[in-house]
Amino acid sequence: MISKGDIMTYDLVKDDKVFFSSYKGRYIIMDNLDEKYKPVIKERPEVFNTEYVYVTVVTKGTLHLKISGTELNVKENDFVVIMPCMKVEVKESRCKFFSMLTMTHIVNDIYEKIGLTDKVGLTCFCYHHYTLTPKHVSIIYNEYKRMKAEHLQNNKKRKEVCLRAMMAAYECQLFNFIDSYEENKRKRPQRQRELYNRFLRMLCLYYRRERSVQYYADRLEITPKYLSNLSMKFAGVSASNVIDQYVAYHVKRMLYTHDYNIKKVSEMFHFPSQSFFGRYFSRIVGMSPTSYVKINNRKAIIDE
Amino acid sequence: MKKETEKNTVDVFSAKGMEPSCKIDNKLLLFDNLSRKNPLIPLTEYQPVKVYQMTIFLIEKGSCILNINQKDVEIKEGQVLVTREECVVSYISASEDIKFFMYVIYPETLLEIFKDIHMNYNKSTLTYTYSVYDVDEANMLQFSQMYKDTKSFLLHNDKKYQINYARSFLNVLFIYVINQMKENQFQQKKPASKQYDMFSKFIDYLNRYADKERTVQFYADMLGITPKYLSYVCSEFSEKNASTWIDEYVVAKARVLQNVHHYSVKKISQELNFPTPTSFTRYFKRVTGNTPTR
Repeated sequence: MISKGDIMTYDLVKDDKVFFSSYKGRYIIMDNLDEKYKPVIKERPEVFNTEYVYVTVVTKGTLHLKISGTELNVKENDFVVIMPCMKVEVKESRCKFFSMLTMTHIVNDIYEKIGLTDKVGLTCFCYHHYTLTPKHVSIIYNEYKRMKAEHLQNNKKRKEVCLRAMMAAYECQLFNFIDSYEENKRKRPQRQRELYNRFLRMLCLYYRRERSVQYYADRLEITPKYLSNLSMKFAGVSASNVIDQYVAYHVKRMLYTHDYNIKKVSEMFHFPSQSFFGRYFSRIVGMSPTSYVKINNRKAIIDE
Repeated sequence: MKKETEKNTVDVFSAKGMEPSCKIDNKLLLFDNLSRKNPLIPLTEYQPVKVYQMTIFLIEKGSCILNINQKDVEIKEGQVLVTREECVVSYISASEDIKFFMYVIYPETLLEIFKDIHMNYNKSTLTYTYSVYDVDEANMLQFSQMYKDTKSFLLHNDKKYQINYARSFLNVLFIYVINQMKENQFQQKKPASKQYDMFSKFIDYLNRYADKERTVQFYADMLGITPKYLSYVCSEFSEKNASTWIDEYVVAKARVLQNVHHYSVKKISQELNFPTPTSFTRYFKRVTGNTPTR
C-alpha cells in the first residue's frame, strides 16, 4: 500500500497515529481529527521532499516544524503549504490537523487548468504560512471532507479524475480568498541564510546548464566546501544533492507532460549523451527515465 | 444561413418565469426548487420547447413526467436524467413534493468538461439523446452537496474562479453518468444493436433536418436503406412508423416556433420549408386535427 513516495508519512501510519489514505501515491490525505487519535505525535526525522505539495491546516493546538532550517510555529487556524525541494522536519506536534499531499505534477496540471500558472506557478524552495479566519478554515475543511469521502469509496472507476476534480475545487476555494490575506511575517534572514537564498535563486536560473557545485560556489565567490556547509545547515543535504534534486524535479516534470521525448529532454539539459542522462536520472530517482515515463505520464494517468 | 440559426437558438431559459437560481453567462445555469415552489411550471406556457443545451436533471425526492422527443419519460426519486443538446421537451406532470436540481450546460463549457476528463465529445459519446440512470443514496447526497456548494460559491464570490469551481464538480457528475452508461450497455447486450443504431441515427437526423425535409425517402437515403425497412425499424422500436415520427417532429418544431418565438403562420411555413402557408395549415391539420392558429 505504501509506495516509495509516501515516505513522508510512513512512520505515522505504521503506528496508526492518524487516519491515512493514499491513492496510488498521487493523492495522499491524513488527519487526526477523530477522537481516537491523540494530538501528540513524536518528532519525525527530516525528509527531503521533491514529489509532493504539502498542505497542512491546524485546527487546534500547535505544531512545531522546521522547514529547510527555518523554525516555524504553526498555531490554531494556520494554513501551511510547503512546495517541493524542501526539507521538512516535525519537531513537536500537539495538535489536531488535516493534511493533503498531492503529487507536484498534478498540482501543476490543476494550476494550468484554472489558469493560475502565470500568477503562482509552482515554485520550489519555498513555503507559505497564513493565519485564516475560522470561516475559511471550515471552507477548506469542507473540501477536505469531500476528498476523504471519495478516498473511502472503493472500487470506483475513474477515481483519479474525481480526486483531481475535487483537488481543483479546493484550489478554487483557496485562491478565491487567499489574496486577501497577508503572509505571516518571517524573521529577517541572517547573512548566511541570505547567501544560501542567493544560491537557490541562481540555481533556478542556471539549472539547465550547470550542475556542478564548483560553478555556483564561484559565482557566489565562496568555496564549494563552504557552500556545502551552508546547504547542510539549511537543507540538511549537501549542495550537490540540492542541485541534483532540483534538476531531477524539472526533468521529471518534462517527462510527465510528455511534450518531448527522452533524447530531446537530455539535450535540453545539456547532458553530453543520452546514456549519461539515463545514469544520472536513475542515480537520483531510482529508476530509468523510460520506466519513469511509463508510470508517470499525463495521458496514462487519466486513461487508467 | 448563419443568421437563420442564430434566430433559431433563442434560449428557453431566458424566458420569463424561468430565472435560474444562479448562472454564469453563456456557460452554465443552475436551477432548483429548494428555495421556491416549482420553476418548471412556467415551462407549460411554452410547450413544447427545444432545449439547445445539454441538461442534467437530478431528482432528490418525488417524481415527474416529461415528454422528451415525443416519448413520455418518468423520472423517479433518486434518478438522474441527462438530455443531449437539441431535445424537444415538454412538461407533463410532477408530484407535489418534488425536489430537484438541474444543470444547464452550454456547449463551450461542455467541451471543456470533456477535455478535463480526457474524452472527446461528439454526438456519439453519449449514446442516447436522453437517458435516465439510478443514483444510489450516497452518491445522490454527494451530488446534492456539490450542487449546494457550487451554488453558494457562485452566489458569494466574484467571477474569477466560478466556472472552474463548477466545472470540477460537473467532471465528477459526468464521470458517474458515463460509468453508468457503460455499465448499462454492458448489461443490456442488445443483439439487435445494428437496428437500434439505425433508429437512433434516424432520430438524430430528424433533429437536424426536420425543418427542411419531410419525406421518408430522404431519411432512408441518408441511412442508405429502403423507406420500407426504415419504417419497419421504427415500428420495431417505438410502435410508430417513420412517417408518423417525421410528422410529430415537424409539428413539435412548429409549436416551438409559435410558442417561444411567436412567429406568424406565414413565417413558420417559411422556416419549415413549406411551399405556401396554406399547405402548412393543411399539413398541420392532418397531423393534429387542429389548425395552427388555434
